[in-house]
Amino acid sequence: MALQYTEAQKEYIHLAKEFGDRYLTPEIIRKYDKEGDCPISLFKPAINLGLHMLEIPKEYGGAGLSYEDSALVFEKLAEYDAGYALTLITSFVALRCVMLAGTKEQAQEFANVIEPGRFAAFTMSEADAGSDAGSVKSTAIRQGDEYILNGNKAFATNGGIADIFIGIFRTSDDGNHGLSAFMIDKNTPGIWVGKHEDKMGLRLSNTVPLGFKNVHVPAKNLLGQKGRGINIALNSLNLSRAYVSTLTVGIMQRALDEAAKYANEREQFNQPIAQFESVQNMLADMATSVETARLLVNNTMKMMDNNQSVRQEGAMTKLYVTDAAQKVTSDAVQILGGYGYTRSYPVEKLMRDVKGFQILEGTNEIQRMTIAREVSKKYLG
Amino acid sequence: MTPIYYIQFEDKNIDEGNSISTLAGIKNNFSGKKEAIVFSNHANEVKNKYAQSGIKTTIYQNNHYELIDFADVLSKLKELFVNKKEYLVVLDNDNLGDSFGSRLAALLGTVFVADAQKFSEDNQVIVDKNIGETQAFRRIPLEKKAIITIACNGVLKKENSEINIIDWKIKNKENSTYIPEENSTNDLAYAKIIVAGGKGLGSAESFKPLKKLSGKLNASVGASKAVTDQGWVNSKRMIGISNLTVSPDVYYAFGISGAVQHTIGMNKSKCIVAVNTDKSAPIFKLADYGIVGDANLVIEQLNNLL
Amino acid sequence: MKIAVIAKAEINNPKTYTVHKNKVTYHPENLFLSEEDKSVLEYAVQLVELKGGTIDVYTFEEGEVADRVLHEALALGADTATKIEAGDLNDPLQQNYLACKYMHFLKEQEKNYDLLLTGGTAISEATAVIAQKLGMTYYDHITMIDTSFNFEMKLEKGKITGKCKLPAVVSTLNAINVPRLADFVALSNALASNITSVSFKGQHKHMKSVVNVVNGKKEKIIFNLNDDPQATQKLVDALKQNGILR
Repeated sequence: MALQYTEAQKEYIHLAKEFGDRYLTPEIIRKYDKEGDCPISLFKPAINLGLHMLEIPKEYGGAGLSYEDSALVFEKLAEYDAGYALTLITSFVALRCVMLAGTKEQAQEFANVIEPGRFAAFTMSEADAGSDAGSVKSTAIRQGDEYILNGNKAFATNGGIADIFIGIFRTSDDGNHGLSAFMIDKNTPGIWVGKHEDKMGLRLSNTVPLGFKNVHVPAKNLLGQKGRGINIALNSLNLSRAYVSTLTVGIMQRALDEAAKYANEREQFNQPIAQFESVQNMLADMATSVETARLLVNNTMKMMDNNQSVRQEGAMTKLYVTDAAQKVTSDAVQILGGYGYTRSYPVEKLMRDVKGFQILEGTNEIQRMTIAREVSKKYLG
Repeated sequence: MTPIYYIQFEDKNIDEGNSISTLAGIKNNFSGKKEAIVFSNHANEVKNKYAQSGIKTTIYQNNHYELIDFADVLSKLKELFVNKKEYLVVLDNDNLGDSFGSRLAALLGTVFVADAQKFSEDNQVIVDKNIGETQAFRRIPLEKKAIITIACNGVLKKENSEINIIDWKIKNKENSTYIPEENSTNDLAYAKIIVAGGKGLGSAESFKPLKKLSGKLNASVGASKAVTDQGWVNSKRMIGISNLTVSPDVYYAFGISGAVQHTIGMNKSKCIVAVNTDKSAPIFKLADYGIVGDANLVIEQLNNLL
Repeated sequence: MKIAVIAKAEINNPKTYTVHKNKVTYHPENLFLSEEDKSVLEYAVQLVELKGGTIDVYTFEEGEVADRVLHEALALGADTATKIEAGDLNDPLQQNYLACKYMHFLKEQEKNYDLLLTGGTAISEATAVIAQKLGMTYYDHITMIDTSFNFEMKLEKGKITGKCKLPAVVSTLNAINVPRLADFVALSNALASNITSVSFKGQHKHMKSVVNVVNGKKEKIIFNLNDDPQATQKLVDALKQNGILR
């Protein structure tokens, strides 16, 4: 392995592996993937282990692991199912956002909701506002000591299972600078949860449209300053983008494991297919991709632990890792041949899951835009 | 050469610790002077078994002896061995043997090796012990006094040997109970050597020579589901996923193709010998030894050779 | 209740030793706390939850494996962890000696345990010696034990049942329950915990067993009766030669 694990990391990863082996068996994952339903009861053991607040400091009830260590734990979980891991991550990334942008009281209030095992969601995207976040139309109008929220959101991860949201709404007309972030209790009257999306992959992750009709939210639920919503959104994306990269490494590792094992067992023309050069080339490229991807993720996480800005590195990591993973998972299906193309074998699901990560948390096109901008900054006259 | 002492238990109420197959294995594999020490509550009924084994045997007899009473046996053994300068005490390689062996070793302050395999016996007894399911093993040179449990089998040729029956005082303060398992009367479930027949034998009549072979090998007879479904053999003898799982030291599979439902019931056998006309039969993937050929013919030949 | 657990790594792990061209390589990175010891620790934790008390964990493993095994034990509920540097407890030639040293150490430290537990019977002689020298009743090959100390010991065709007399040394045959998983908070605390180190000085000269490799991949011996009429005879000869027959 290219990455030099610390002793502590080896033990954390081992615990994640024991958890996955016990609770996320192939039969269970296959069942929920087929149904396309987020299995809330399946998260109870994860909550008992503290996986829902892995990176959150102990003062808020979390396990207090560093970004670097928690990333390795979630990489291991993603080997079992990335959608499951994504559900947990979405929750604590939302809390981390509140901790970064909001007051201590707000952070404590948010933590009190998710610590016992309830979920959080972050909602910004709308039907006409995906990559173009500045086009968000949903409004938040101040009225006395409240804001009234109106609008429709799309593709809210965890939206249907969350008890608390962070929502980005327009408080003024200044394009990007007119957006603000709010903490919203799911039980507030006027909130409507739409039909769960029937997605290609990441099917254990809950994705829903949300509707807000005259939802009254106390003014104290504004996170940070008015008009700073886009910055809060970008911070959140920074974090979730880094974790999505680590989940993708986990998917790649699983794909490599399945393909290499199969290639050494399956015999054609009187020898294991792993002896054929074309298969060897694929395995070699897959293994190299996995190692480089992991190193890149690990470095980005270390920078985050050091409070360094990862605007460029995070984008590069997500771009590189998810694009590499598309080839790795596709090759895995190729190596497993006809069997790999069926649902009885786990590799086709890996291909479907990875495709989602090339789109979510900032499409790879947006990542390229970000990276190019950062690169050019150094050369501007 | 280090003298060898084999410990055996004969309790008329508990069917454990009385298999003579290991004794046969020791007789055939070790050269040192051998003696068997037996603890019993019905010496007169079992003495012939040892009198015809070719190994000098001492039977300690007490009507109140119970197999689950370890303390009395251990103190007698301690008394017997504490002053001996050189010995290799051998017990069967099973839970009872391991339990006794370790306790006796603790009492006498000697080395104990469970599940040993003999490597050499020349100046010093050296045994090998596998390390779990890894590919590595330990080579262990034993000192002048040692206790081992060993898995080896054989068939005893009838040979006369000296028998002494000694009356023995016991305290018997044990207050636990022995509960036999449901299968305990089924000789196949615990057999160390099994001869099994499958559809390849062709008919119910073919099982007669197979039974004859099992007698020569001191083995139990088993069968695949295909055979018991046809009624050629009693269904209690079926080995496979829906009936018995066995793990003998040696498993002979005659005319058995090796379908998964069968092999799940016997793939933990230590050594597998397969005979089948089809050289690509899956059983050959599991087998350590085998013959590609007609199973009935091979059984006939084996009956003539042995 | 005062409970001691001797924790070991998963020696049955086929990845522990790899063999390449007759050279044996030891892979400690694949070793973690054994399933049997986790199960025994789970039993100890249940006892303590019911009757109160402490659990001290000891290990004879070395280096990173020792730390790992102890961290896992602490995360699962042990109160203290001690690493003993004295020799290889899996080596039958050292078991008697190590058990005596350990027994002296316990006496010196005035640790009077009600129960000393270990999973799996790999170190049988050591546990038998400890029981014998400390005057504790010995129960081994245990397949069931409950919080009222009823036990079952498995034999070939049946089992022995009874009630444990304390103080006792208990070694289990396999895992006796499904142990709980540690949580990440406990593991993170365990990683920061103090591990005591103890070294037994003055090793007396004794032989050590040598770890070796199995002679290559086991060759299958398959004859063909259609090509070779002597096949059956040859099979019998091969079986006799390798000690399978007679």
